[in-house]
Amino acid sequence: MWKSASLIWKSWTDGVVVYNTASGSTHLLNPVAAKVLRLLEDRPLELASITREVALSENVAIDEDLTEQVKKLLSSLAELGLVEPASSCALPN
Amino acid sequence: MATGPFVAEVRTDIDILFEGIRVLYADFTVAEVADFADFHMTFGRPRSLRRWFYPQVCFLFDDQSPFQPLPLNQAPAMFEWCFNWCISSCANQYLIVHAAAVERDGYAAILPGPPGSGKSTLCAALVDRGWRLLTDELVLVSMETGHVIALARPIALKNHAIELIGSFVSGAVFGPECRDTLKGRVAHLRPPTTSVVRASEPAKPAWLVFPKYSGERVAGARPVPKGQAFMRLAASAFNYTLHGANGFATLSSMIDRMACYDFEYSSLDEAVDWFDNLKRLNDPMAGDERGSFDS
Repeated sequence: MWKSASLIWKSWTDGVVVYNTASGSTHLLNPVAAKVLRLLEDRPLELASITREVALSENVAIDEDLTEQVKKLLSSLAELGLVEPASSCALPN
Repeated sequence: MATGPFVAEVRTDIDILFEGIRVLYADFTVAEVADFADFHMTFGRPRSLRRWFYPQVCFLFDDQSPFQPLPLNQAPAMFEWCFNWCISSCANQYLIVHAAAVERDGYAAILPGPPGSGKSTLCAALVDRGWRLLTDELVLVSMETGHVIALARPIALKNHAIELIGSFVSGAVFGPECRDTLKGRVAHLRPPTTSVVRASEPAKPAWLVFPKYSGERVAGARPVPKGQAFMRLAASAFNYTLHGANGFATLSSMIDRMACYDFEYSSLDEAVDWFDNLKRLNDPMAGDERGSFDS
């Protein structure tokens, strides 16, 4: 289960930046990362649910490759402090 | 002396520095004794053998010495660098961006760029051709209004740019040239009287232009996506992180208002022509792209 950090967003038609209120860092997001963070702002989600939403918005099939890419994206976002595990279990499922 | 929103008290007995200030700050308001000063700066010789042998100049700020001495003949350049340091270290009521800025019709073009990008040279050329000098080094942005506050201090030029601007600008007045600095030859161009007189007038940011002098290519510009422009502007802001969420909001509003470009040029005439057409390319009166802003 993953959840997002507390973020302030600024969106333009050609780009999205977020400010992490906890760390004070600022990040430029690609569209998929922005999509995932928006989802996790609404509520914590499991990897499978996130992957399903990404597949729908990007109009691609859900397969192992997509799941792996979403897993890597979540790891990258976690390294940046933009997402974190929503439970005490730190391993993505 | 008063420069933009600041009053600086400057004490020195070094002739070359005194002469440089006399020439470059001729249009600035100078008082014999400052009732209140934002910065207290002293430039003097060290109390050692270096007072006479390979003489040096020392800088004291509020009686503290934050830097190593420099050769005496670099005193005029040291004065400008230390003045920049005072502002960038202490004036955190503003968002401070490492950039040049010029104004026309109440609107500011902000020119961020690393050393060597040619922003000061371009700034000097624009100021000679109808733009008002706001600053050549430190853009001060009001956190309340988002407007750019003018400093209108002398423009720093290095190496061949000194001769280039000397021939481009009719009647150019330079302060003493300083040789063998870490940046090579350095000389400062006296700002236009009109820019100094109007230094109390802020300007609304309208254009963000990342300049690059590129040798033989024809001048050209590419729009920069707003998200990228935001990040590049934030990277140029000395105290962006200090301001936290307010800094994020201020920069966001600036990017809302500004058309953003990468601009490459190979001649100053080309560059001036392009800037003269900026308002036609993107009229700030036509409205800005206000991105959505939520948390």
